[in-house]
Amino acid sequence: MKTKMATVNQPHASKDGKGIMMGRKAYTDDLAPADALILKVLRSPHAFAKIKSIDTKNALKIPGVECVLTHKDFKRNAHTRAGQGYPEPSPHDKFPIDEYVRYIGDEVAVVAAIDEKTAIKAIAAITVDYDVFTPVTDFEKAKNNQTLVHPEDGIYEMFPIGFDPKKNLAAGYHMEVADVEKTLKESDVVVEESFYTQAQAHVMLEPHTVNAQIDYNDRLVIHSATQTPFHVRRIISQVLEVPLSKIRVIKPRVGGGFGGKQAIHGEILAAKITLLTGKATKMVYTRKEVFEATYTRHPMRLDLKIGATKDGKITAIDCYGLSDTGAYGEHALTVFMVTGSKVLPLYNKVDAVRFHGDVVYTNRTPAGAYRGYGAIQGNFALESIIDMLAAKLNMDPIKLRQKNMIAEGETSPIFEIMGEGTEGTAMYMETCKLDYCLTRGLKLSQWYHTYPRKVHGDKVRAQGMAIAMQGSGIPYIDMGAATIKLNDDGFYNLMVGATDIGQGSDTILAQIAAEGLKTDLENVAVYSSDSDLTPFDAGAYASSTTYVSGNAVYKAAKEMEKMLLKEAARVLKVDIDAIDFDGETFKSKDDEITLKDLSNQLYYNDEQKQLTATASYVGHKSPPPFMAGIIAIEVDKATGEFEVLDYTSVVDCGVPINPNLAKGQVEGGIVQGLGMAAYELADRTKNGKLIQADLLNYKIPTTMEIKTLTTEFAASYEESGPYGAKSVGEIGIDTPPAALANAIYNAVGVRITSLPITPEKILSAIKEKENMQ
Amino acid sequence: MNIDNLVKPTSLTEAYKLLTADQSNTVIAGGAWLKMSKRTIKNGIDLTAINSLKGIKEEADVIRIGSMTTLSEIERDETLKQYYSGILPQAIAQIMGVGLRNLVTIGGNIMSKHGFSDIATPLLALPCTLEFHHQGILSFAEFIEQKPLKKDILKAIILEKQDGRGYFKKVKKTALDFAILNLALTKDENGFALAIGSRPSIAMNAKEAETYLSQQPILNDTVIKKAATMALKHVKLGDNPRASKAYRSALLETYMLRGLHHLNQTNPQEGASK
Amino acid sequence: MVTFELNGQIKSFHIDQGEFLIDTLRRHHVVSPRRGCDTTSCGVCTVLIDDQPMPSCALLTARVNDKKVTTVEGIADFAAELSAYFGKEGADQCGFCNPGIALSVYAMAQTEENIDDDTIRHYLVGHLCRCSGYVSQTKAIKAFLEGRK
Repeated sequence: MKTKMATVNQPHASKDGKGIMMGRKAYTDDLAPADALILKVLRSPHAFAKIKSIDTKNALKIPGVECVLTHKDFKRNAHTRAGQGYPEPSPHDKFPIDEYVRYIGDEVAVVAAIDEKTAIKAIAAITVDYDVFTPVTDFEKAKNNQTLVHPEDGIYEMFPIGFDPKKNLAAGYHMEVADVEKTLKESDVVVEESFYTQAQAHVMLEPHTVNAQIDYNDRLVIHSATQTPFHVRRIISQVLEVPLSKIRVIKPRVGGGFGGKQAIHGEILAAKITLLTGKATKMVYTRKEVFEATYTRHPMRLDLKIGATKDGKITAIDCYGLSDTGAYGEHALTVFMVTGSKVLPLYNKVDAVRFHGDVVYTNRTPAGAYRGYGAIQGNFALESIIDMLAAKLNMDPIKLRQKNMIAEGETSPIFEIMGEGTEGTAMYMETCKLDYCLTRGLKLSQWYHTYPRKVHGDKVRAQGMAIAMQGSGIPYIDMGAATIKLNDDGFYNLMVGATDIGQGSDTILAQIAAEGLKTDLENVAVYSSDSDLTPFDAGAYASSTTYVSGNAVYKAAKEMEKMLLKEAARVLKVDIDAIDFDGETFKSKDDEITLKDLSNQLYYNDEQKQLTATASYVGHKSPPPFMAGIIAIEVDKATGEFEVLDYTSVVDCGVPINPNLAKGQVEGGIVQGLGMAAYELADRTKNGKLIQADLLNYKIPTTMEIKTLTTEFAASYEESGPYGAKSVGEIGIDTPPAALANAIYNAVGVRITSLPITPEKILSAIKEKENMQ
Repeated sequence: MNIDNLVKPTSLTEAYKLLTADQSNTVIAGGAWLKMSKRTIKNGIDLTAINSLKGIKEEADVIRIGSMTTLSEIERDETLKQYYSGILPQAIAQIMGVGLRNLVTIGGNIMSKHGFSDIATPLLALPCTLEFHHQGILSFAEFIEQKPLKKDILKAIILEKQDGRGYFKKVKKTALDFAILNLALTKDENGFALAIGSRPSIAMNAKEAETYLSQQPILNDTVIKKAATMALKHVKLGDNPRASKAYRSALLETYMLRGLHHLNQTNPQEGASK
Repeated sequence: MVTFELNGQIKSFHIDQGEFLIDTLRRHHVVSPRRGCDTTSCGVCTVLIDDQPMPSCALLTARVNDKKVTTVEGIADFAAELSAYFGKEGADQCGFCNPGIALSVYAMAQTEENIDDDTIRHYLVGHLCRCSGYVSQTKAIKAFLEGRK
């Protein structure tokens, strides 16, 4: 099973690190033609309105303005911007530009001009007459509201997802195992609480960027900072009615995605204007546009009930969820389902479990994909209520978890019932080192040294923890493919559809290829994510790249090795079985040939041919990575302020293909999760305007908030993964909200149930508690 | 923002003449947030060529900080680090990042009169006056009260040399955030000065508490508590998206107590707490 | 017309008076200063002006006349060396913030003494990174500076 690996499980540096650090041209904006028209979008100042009339005459008169397009210039093709497997489990409820505007920031018109200054001037010269409606801004009042966010015709679901726009419902879901209400009634102890999570922003440092041009073959070439180039190509083709064969989408280097670039953003507008004018176009979102007019995490309310016996066996979990998808239903159903399916199986020994609820439309910036989607919301609620249950049972929350959490070899009925938008896939946990993760985490963090708290005057030190699970791709839906090509001199090209968005997938996929071909990492040149030149891949989302794309690379490498052996056998005139290949030389009993010589012969001298191996992989299960996360904090009782002292993570992601990059995924996730847990406010005015719409006001963690991170991996080997790997892209983000809430409780005895957990909320809860005593 | 023309006068007289020549003409100090302004400026007046506005000079009775001195220069200045426990450089070191502090000038910050200013607060608690080209000397409090702000060129911030101690606290969400509340307390032979900023409006002195404290022979727990209560009563606090009035009140009370205890305990040589 | 020293070479550019340095540089194919936030909050547009880090998104090009402007292209060897340490610590991710960080580290190494973790965290506070969680970056920078001693 496990052998010492030469390239895999080694902490190689990212292949692209040096060039990026040195500032080489790499990102979409860097690669735009110098003469590209600059696109700017006029965005709605109203949360809900219908455009009565729009006058672009004055804008068009400005010298340097190429064109101004409004809803009248686009065919009304309903689509979803969500980059997902097709048919999408998201409603087709969006038009390229519509006569309705449904949130502050929605598109009204697009201008193309010779430079930014001219485009901005033209935007200001457009006059619009709106019929302004009262918006639906409170998601708890959206269902069956008399105001309909989508009153129009021509929108639809691709298959039943609970879409009912006449009730402001983008999606809905219900599942139940056994009789939850009855089981709760019969339980010794029941705890009940509602939890609220906010519309976290992705804040990838590179804003959404696209450029488009027509190449000399008369094809539309789009460079886009996207996580899903193949989905982008398909959606553009559908919306603009251009044959797929006429479109090439290239993903250059991407400056972070986190799910925020999983949907299409400016691509349709850039493509349309390039097709219309024949000229190159470029669109770079301003940071304000990124905040107001891309999408956010789905804000949710989760109503949880949990029952247990006196001795701490959890009997039932009941979760009603209400999710706010904003103006459009991108990922509405899938995020919602994952809120249950990637959380509830953590406690798989319950007698009954229910998960149900609604995803509602409101007149706010849409919600969409975001690292750890659903799981982080669900984890905050469930892992908070587990500590609440422990308090009520007067039991150590660690012991309560150990008694009830999922273990290796076990399963949960939820895996089969719930997938992402469809039914799920039954699976047993062939690797689950959760118990080790927890025990090791307690040791590393010296949990019982502090637990429950240490008080020094106003300052209280405490820790809090949570466990989590994620997935590794979407089984039977998302496919990844890889092609390996042999070159003269014996070096390889690895071509993958998989999308490196900064997480290092080019590097780890090259490591898998190098391991399979027994060669050095330097001998594998990677090219990724070009819809013309690389094989298909669903994209960088759902923690799929290492497991799904990695398996495709593994298979392709094995295939290439077979081809090489066949050629070597021919040259050495022996059977394939008689050859020993060490990555550099093919040896038979009496003879040998180097890979270098063989590949040169294959190009130039004898039985010339190009060796290319392509393999595809689609998962038949989605083995979850697991982790235990423990936060150490110091709270100031008098002000509610707190400092994060350390975050300990022990993660089971199978064999980390690259321990350094896997650590980067975990630690980056932890800090982003801490942002959601503690700092990132996303409030709206009554009129639906986002208050924190720039980085002066929307605060993500800085170097000063993050002091130490303690990160380890459990020894684990997932048979179905490439070289034993599971995925690791999202698991890191899940635990911080609940861990922080639990730490605050351990420190000062108050339970914060809405995110972010601010000093003000903590102090107010402390005062309330004091007043009650 | 739109600037039609950028002018670099070499004398104050020239600069002032330009400034008052057209309503839209504006002094550009560090210019850090020009981009966010929606204004159209006919003549942007760049003061970088006027050398008398730059740098920190220690004179017999005063320390003069030229209005075009950058925040980074103040942060690193050894004289200011010793002045009233170094509260001014301490406050400045907590403003955004190094890059911005290299760009922003103290004059630009003062003239913007931001409610969240971390500079107005310590200056209000220090023996400080502002020297303008046209209006001459104004006390910092007079400057804050001046509405609308007269078009003038700030030449220098003048700090009277005194032996005193200080305490500064900025409450914020992350290190790059604006203050939820900030507070500067000083004590010297003339008594106490207490200033509270980011209320969320611009800093003000807690005058009643200052007077009360300055009259007390000794500073004990009862006195400190009473002073904090007075400050809480007289300093107007409000709500904004960063915090509610109630939370600001709690912060003011706690940090007023902590700050006064701190001043009571430390000797002048010791630095103040963070 | 503005003239300044860009990465060791004297350059003159035709500019608008209200133009910002980042736009001038990017228009002339110096793309390492990147557009991130428009509000001087993120650090990805950092350049050195007379060896001091500043946000090029907030700096009028007209004001750098006669000054020395350095982008990461101007400290290529330094950046390459630093990147090796980032690689060793796994601190590389999307890299959008890396050139700005390299410039600040360069400036910090010249002005600060006895650099420890706290110095680095204070000095780099204006460089937001959403990928790494910062700790690996700090470790890499510390090891790099120790390696240079």
